Amino acid sequence: MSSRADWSYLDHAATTPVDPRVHRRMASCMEREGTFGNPSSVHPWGRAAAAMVDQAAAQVADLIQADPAGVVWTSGATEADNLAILGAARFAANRDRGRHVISARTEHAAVLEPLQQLEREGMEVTLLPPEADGRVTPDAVADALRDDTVLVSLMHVNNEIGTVQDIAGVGEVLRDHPTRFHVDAAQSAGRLPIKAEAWGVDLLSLSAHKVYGPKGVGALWVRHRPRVRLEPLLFGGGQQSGLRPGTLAPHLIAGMGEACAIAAEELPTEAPRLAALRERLLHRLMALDAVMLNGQRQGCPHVLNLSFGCVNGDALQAELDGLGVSAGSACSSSERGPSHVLRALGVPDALAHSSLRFSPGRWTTEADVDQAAALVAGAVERLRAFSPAWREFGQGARLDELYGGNPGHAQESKA
Amino acid sequence: MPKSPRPRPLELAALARDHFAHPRNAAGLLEPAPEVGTGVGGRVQSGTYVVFQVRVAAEGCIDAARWECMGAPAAIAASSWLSEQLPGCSPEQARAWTALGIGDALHLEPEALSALLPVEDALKAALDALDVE
Repeated sequence: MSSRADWSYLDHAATTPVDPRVHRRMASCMEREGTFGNPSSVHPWGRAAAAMVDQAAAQVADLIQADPAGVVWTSGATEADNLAILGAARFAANRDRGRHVISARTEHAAVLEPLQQLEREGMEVTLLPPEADGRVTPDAVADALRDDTVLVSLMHVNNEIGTVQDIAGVGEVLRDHPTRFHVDAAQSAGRLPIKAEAWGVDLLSLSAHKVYGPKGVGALWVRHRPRVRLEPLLFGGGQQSGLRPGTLAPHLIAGMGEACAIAAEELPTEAPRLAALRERLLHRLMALDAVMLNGQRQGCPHVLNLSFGCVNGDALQAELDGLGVSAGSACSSSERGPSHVLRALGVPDALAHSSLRFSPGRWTTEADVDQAAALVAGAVERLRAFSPAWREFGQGARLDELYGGNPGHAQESKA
Repeated sequence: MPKSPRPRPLELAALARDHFAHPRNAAGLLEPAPEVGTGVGGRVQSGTYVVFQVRVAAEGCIDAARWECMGAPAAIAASSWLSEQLPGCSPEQARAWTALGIGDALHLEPEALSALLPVEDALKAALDALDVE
């Protein structure tokens, strides 16, 4: 077994390493003479910490082009999603404003599970089916919208397949409707421009560890003008206007602020660089033939999801043991079952099982991508050499005939 | 503690690992002939799809076995290993090999057994297809 250092890490959609600049910023808070104060305290130590938190909020808000006063610190994007969804829907339901919520089948579990909780509380949830490439169109949202709709929740970029939703378009559809609009932007932050205010977003979730910041901190941006109100999930000392009480963690918050500042600064060069790496990987792997692209041809620059036909997913995974990619069904691979995202796209289970998610990041080079492509190509070719499905494909059978389902919706490579 | 730890791919014992890494008798199928039986097991849709072949020599014993397998490492290892056991057997003796027996011989985890059923099915179908039994 090779050591980790011999392999390229191509799983930045799962998490990113902490940028050394972020690490230095955090470390300076944690020194004996660092900014350790409780931001709620009024003495100089507290005021210093509060000023640092304010600076971090400005850095986060700058990345999403929004009012810094709306930043609420959380433990991560999961908590931000829960606070947004449960908080907004319960606030509306408690005031009899409506009980209907709209979202999509391809959302992250941190959105789907709070939605299930809302159903248990008597609310009605519409989960929109995606187009074949994972998009949920503004028209589909408009069609599902009702007078009693109180919340629409859509992710900006899908974590498994990298599909980019038209958030501005959906915001336009919702502009004259009283519903709240929540966007999980954990994956898009630092990879695509985000204009929370201009797009008409009311609530936006972020995670630090997806943008080279620390794990354990995230933020929910909550629109202040006009004011969006939420029922809190936690109760305590009244911090953050009672929306999310608990002593703030200055070192984590400073780290997230620094991470967002770096992401915003580097976005104009980093986004096209990642897109070129994605394109390079796509080009090399599609050349293998009988490979299906799951998601958009021009998806988010840091996520590429491919299904490799005519090989078994477990065998492919065994061949790539140690390569830093998500196998089987990306984020759902802990469940062993087929990914709910690929299922919603209509990908046959066996093809979902032999999918790989490649996710390059800040320090990924062309050489890393080439090495990964060569490893995967070698594994696929070795397994196909004795695969009867591959022989039949070579004799003219199409993937949709072999797999029974309808993979024709996605882009199949066939030389 | 994480709720659902990420499952590791099933660990193969050394013999099975060797067959997965260096499959035997996988270099192409035999030409169709009366003394060659070809059988299929499993389905592409379920992730395991196996083709097995046995050839019977004039004296009535199997003298060659070939296979193709799209499947988990256990299924590939089982196909390869089984193809080495068959030469010298009569078709009747060959029928004695089941998924359970193959799994035991290769020290496979019980969880791997379901991946071996298509291998057993393909072998049985290949023996059924023989004209000379």
